[in-house]
Amino acid sequence: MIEVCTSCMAHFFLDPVKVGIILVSFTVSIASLLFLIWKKGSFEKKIPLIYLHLFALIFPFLFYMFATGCEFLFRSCSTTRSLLTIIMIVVLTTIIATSIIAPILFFVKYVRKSNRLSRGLLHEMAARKSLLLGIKKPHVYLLNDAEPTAFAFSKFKKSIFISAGLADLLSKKELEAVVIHELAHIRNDSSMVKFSTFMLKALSPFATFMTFHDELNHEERKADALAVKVQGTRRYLKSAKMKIEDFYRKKEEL
Amino acid sequence: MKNIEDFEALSPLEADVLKILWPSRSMTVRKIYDRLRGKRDVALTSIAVILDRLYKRGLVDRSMEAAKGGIRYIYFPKKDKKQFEQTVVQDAVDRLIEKFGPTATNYFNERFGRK
Repeated sequence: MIEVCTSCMAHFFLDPVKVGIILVSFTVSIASLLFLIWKKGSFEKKIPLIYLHLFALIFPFLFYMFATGCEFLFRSCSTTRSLLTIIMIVVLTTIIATSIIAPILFFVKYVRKSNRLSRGLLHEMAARKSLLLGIKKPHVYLLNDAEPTAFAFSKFKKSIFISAGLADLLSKKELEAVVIHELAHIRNDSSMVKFSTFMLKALSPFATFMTFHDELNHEERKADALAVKVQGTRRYLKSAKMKIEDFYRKKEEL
Repeated sequence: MKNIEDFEALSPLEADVLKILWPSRSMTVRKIYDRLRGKRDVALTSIAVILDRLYKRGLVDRSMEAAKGGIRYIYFPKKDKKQFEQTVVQDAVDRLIEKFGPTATNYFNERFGRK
């Protein structure tokens, strides 16, 4: 079996068409990353480049697997028709993996640690403020975690997650400021920006050294501005942030 | 059984928090903070950090309960003070015997035989 697989591998890399497809894919991956770095303009418009880069990076590996698997099983996968079929399958698999499966796994990971709220202070707060912001009320989850954290998720099921630790630390007004901040992310669809940069850093070795501080800070500032506007003061948002920072500082010191 | 390091050093703040919880009390972070801040200079965030640490060490447990101001963690001790002290003593003795073998057992025999 090892000899057959070795033969498949050799057969693959001796085929100029297949090697050409892989080289083109890697070139597109590098080019899209460079374009992502150099292109000016809003980050939201660059999000498709992130997924193009990831797709073109993952495609060669999946293409190799399907092509050698096909060769191993059927022995005649070098016709144009077979190649096009393999390419189509790989394209679909990559798209499904990066834009459907990965977000679902990310979402399920946090839902499993959370309770979905259907009533109570946090739920009512989110309902009132969603109405005020002109958005549909997202699902509200209480994350079973003592660390003070909150985030929004706007792919598939729009949701906000607030940790029990955060609810323990903040006053009602401070919690309201955080809830409005997270609802603002849903309204601005900025969780897509955060999630996309997370995927890029997680899956692409080339993006490891890139920073997206400016882009992420811009989204955070927009959400902060909306919270301040709705509450009419930055007092509660500021004190909420100070308490969160203080928790993590104390965690190191104590 | 947990390692002795888990029980060996309770910081003064950890000890103070446990002393409040030990008479079988269950309390929120804020209630423990309100009790302690009269006795020492402490921040709410410090209490939250300490309680989470005690939870991870298995010394306290917690549940989420709906309260007037929303859902909160309620912390309660996993062992009472006597059980905790017994565990610390047991672990210390076990470690001495493991490390010093017959020297330790002979000492204990002489010590408690004399008594």
